[in-house]
Amino acid sequence: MSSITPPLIAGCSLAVACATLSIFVISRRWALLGEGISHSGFGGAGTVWLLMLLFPSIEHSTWPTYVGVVIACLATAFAIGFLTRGGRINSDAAIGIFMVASLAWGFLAQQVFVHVRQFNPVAWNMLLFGQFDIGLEFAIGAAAICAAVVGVVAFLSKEIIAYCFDPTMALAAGVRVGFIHYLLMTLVALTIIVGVSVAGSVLVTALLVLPGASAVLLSDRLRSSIAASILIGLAGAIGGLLIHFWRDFVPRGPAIVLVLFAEFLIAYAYSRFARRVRLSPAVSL
Amino acid sequence: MSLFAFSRSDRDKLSSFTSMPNLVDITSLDFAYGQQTVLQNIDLAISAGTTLGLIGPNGGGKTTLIRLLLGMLEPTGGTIRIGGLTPIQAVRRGDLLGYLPQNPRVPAQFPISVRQFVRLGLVGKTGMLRSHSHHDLDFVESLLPRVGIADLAERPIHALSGGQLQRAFIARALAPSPKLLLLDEPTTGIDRGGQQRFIEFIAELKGDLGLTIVFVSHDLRAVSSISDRIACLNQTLHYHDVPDHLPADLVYRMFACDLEAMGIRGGHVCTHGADEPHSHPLETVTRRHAPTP
Repeated sequence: MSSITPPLIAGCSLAVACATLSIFVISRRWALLGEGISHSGFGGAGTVWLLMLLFPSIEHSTWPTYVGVVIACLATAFAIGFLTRGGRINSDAAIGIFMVASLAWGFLAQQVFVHVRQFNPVAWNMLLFGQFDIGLEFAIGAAAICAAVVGVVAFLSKEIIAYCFDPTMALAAGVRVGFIHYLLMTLVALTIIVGVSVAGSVLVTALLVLPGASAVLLSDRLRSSIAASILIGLAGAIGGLLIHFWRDFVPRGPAIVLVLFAEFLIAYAYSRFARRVRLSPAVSL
Repeated sequence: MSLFAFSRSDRDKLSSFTSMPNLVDITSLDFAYGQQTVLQNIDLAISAGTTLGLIGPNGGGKTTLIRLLLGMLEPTGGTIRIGGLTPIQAVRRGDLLGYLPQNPRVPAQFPISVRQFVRLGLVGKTGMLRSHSHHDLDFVESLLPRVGIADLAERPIHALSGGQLQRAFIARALAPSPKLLLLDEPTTGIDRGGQQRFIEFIAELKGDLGLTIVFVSHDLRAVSSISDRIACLNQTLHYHDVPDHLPADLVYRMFACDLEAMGIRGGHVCTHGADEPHSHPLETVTRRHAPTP
């Protein structure tokens, strides 16, 4: 049981934080932002792998790779935030630029490492699909970061809602939109840093997108949408982790993502059914 | 007692503005996007409690002037003062400016109600890490029936029609009890009858709330029926007082000709053309109110 507890703590905390941000990420059309930031983590890891060739004493430790991921994610979040602020570059273009560059750098570094050492760098598979060993200390740290993310969203909810609804109108109403813009980028980056260890850099975006996308199909009230998003995220994280522990050849990341995707399909089918029921009296006329 | 009666604190605040000679003072304002000059040597003063109609062709700088007033752009020369403050200071107060954007739209599926949407207008005034005051929330509740959306308050904002949405945006702009209301092309896309009702609605709100209004439009007929003064903006600014007791239609014809003389062509019709250059009785009025240098 002890081995399931830390991933459950980290996974549930992450699910709550991502689901809280999810509605806002979708409304700002930042669905691919998570993808851009998480893949930049791959570039950060690649830089660390090249450094490992210079400093072989650290090449069997996991933590330097994770530090590289953290630094790259935060730096990329601010870089994307800077480029997209004021419409200098569209967000999808900015995200695409960093995503492809980071992926290219990460793969290049991995190939160089394999060429020199004849084996894959540490954390290679873990980084892609979320197979880091999660200890209790990491889980508690992840829970603290996720709690901080939820707390910031709760305390600045009216500013974040105003900004996500329409940045120009928020600016005209006196909201410090620059601060909120970078704050949201930072919050997304923090959840991704935690999420890379749980779901992997390829799949962490699912936790930021699918809960909110499912929730807005079920409710048109903000509070109930966020509540639904959190429940959907929690169900996905717990369901995916249980599948992983039931059949340990199933990696955590894909299991969580596929449960979330199944929830989205159910929510979509329900929303279509509910809409048809609402429309049926008019149709019968 | 009217729902819109001002409290003592509101009156005190308002009197501090109305006692000022001008709510907006623009002096020698220049603005350029790179090498392209958009506004040149603009001098404009707007007295508290008046309505300024701002007309001009597309690309003439109307929306740029609004964005400068909102602090979204920095002037390349000159100064703007709103209630004695710079535009950024004025906007960050949260209770000095209200803004109705051109073609207001809402993001699809953003899950907030009309009431929550209108309350977003209070966010800057309330400030970070604080809850809205009861006084402000009560004022928002009083605005909903005033703008005709009380029965829609719990509807999702994205479910409103175009006209209902515009009223919701006006309620949001008025939520913090602003002194200055900026309306950017508010009658675009509304039919003639709807425009007239909108003008009457705005005029009524202005009287009730003691607003100063900047009404931006390329529709001279709409502008002329509500404005105390009309400014014609096409990189440079020419402005006029609207003579008292002059029917709106005559004002419309007067300024239509004036605009054409400036080389501004819109959808308006100049009724005293080349065939009868001196026959219209407004001729003398036009001369008397010739553009000021």
